[in-house]
Amino acid sequence: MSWIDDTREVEKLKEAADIVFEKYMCDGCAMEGPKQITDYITTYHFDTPIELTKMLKIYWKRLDKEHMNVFAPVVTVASFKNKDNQQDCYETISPLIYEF
Amino acid sequence: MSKIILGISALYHDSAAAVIRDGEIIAAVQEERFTRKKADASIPVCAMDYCLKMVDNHIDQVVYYDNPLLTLDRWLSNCVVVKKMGYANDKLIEKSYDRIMADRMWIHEQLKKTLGDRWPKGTELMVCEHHVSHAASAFYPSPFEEAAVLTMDGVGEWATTTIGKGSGNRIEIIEQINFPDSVGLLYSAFTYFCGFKVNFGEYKLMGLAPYGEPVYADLIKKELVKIDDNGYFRLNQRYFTYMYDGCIVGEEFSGLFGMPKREPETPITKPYMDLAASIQVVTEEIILKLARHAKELTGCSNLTLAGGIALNCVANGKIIREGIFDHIWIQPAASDAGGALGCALYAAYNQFGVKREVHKKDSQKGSYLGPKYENEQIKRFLDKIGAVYHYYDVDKVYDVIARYLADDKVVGLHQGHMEYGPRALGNRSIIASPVSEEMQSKLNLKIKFRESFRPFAPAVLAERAEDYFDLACDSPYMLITAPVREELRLTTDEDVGAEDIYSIINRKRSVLPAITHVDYSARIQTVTEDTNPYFYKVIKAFEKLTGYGLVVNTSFNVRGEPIVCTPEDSWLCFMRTDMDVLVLENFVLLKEQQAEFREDTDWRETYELD
Repeated sequence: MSWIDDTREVEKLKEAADIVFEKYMCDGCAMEGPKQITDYITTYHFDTPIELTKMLKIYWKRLDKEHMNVFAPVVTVASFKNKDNQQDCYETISPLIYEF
Repeated sequence: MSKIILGISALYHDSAAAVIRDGEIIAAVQEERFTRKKADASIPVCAMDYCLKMVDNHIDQVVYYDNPLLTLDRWLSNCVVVKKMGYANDKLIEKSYDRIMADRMWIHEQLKKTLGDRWPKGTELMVCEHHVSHAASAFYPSPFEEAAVLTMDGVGEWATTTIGKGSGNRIEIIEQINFPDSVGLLYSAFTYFCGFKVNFGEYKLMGLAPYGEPVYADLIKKELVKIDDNGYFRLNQRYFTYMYDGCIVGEEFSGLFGMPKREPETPITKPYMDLAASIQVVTEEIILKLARHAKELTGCSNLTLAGGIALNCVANGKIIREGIFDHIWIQPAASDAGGALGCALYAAYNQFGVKREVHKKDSQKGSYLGPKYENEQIKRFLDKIGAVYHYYDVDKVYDVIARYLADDKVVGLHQGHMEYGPRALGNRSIIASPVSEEMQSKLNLKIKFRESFRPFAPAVLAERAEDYFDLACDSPYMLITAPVREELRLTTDEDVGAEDIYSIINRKRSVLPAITHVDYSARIQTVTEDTNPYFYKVIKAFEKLTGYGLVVNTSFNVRGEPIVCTPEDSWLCFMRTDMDVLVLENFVLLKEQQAEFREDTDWRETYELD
């Protein structure tokens, strides 16, 4: 983890995952990806938190996964908190796992 | 009005940049070649600089090869699902939080910051979906008006496999398989378990496979992966840990095979050879079934391939020999590096309406798309360092090189534009005689400092390929294996049941021992005069001297080092190893004539073993 204190955001992320898990996941549910690629190419741009939140919600609507909107506030805060936190974290690639 | 598009891949592994003008590929290069960090995943600052220089710093659009929102969606979904599986999501969050929130979400800002005033005014970043980038890199440069498109990798956003159809300047994805079911991750799991690095060692595992017997193939299919008739597959997540841990497999996997993970650099014993053979067989079954399904879905007679799995040249050779398609074309930069080219091409044809011109051979320009250094630049460099060199005119230099090859010298060949993709294709290559019995072990142990079991590939005059190999098509990018012809083989059954790999390696298997793998296969590059006149003439001159129209061709680097880029890189690699001769365009340097080479630090510490 970085030098930025993201403890609160990490907790919020876990809480959001719990909410989605409890409210929207049935027994036997697996990973829910898009059935098919839809937007092959698109513009990617946001400057403000409001723009990012809006972009996330539009995207999840397009994927027919509006329940994922639970994550929108924490992703927005976490992203902006880390806006200038790019690190040289690609110095070494893990030999243990495919980077995804 | 001409349209110039810069494509970028970055932030996963093997960053790269590519620039195209009206659909024509102008330049493409991996960042690792400049930074000297293998598979460098950072923003490709140097690669972008090089590409921009080739278009006078003018671009109309920047495209990134992956959609961060889809990756975010998959990662968050994974965080939810692991709870369903009964695991905590802490490690998953710890592993990727920074990279997603700080890097990937801000790709548009990072690229704008890097390009500064070279960013095209009035435009925003476009992002192309990961497997569409792969598909575009496979279809658009191919020589086909219409083709099935098959992409397979570890994972990109959600998708791990797609089947599509390309027609004219359009690509349609018809079906896809999503994470966590991934043939790339399956292969990487065995790579890791057999003691090689994920993302680096997959080709080593493929090279190891012929030493073993596929005795675990049935167990893999029974327990690890269920394969349908159409090639669709599901991984049994009980045995994999990548969904919730920082490692790809754990104890369940080890227990299934009744052996521990092999530690890197320890001796390779029979069970690990058998594991390699087994996963190779299973992977081939999946790929062949997917290829047949792609044929059914699209009705096409041509196939194009991309994604990291498309670098499995053994499987590629089998697709050809099965005759499922009439023709196949594989993107030479098949892994993520090729995504830079693919996303730029996709934007050109689908966003900007560029007309696609299909070239008879292909539009990849031999994949010679990186920097080239002129004789004057090379001379300045050699004079500066006080090297002893000989200059030969073009009429003479090929004969000089061929003479050294015929004398069993190992030659570092640096000429023309550097290759895009993982294979050295004669422009940044180490070449040698294929006839020499000791060459494989000399090259592995004294030049490349790599594992002695690893085979070497031949570069053969295209018109003579059938004299040596059962190869029914061209293989200009060294992405297809084919058997050495029966009549050239030397029979031996001493290998059967051998427990120790080192007892197998050094047996002479054909009259071309340096390029004949243990199973009599070879990973072939066919060389034509129109694509690479310099390299072609070197091999032709060697043929004139020896009668053999082929040479050993391996990448110009040592283990763990990216392929050389500049004359200085080539010089350093030459001086640090037991290479005999270095050729830089028309300049020829002999090791024995150089002053003693000293460095303050041990260069071996510079490159982490891959």
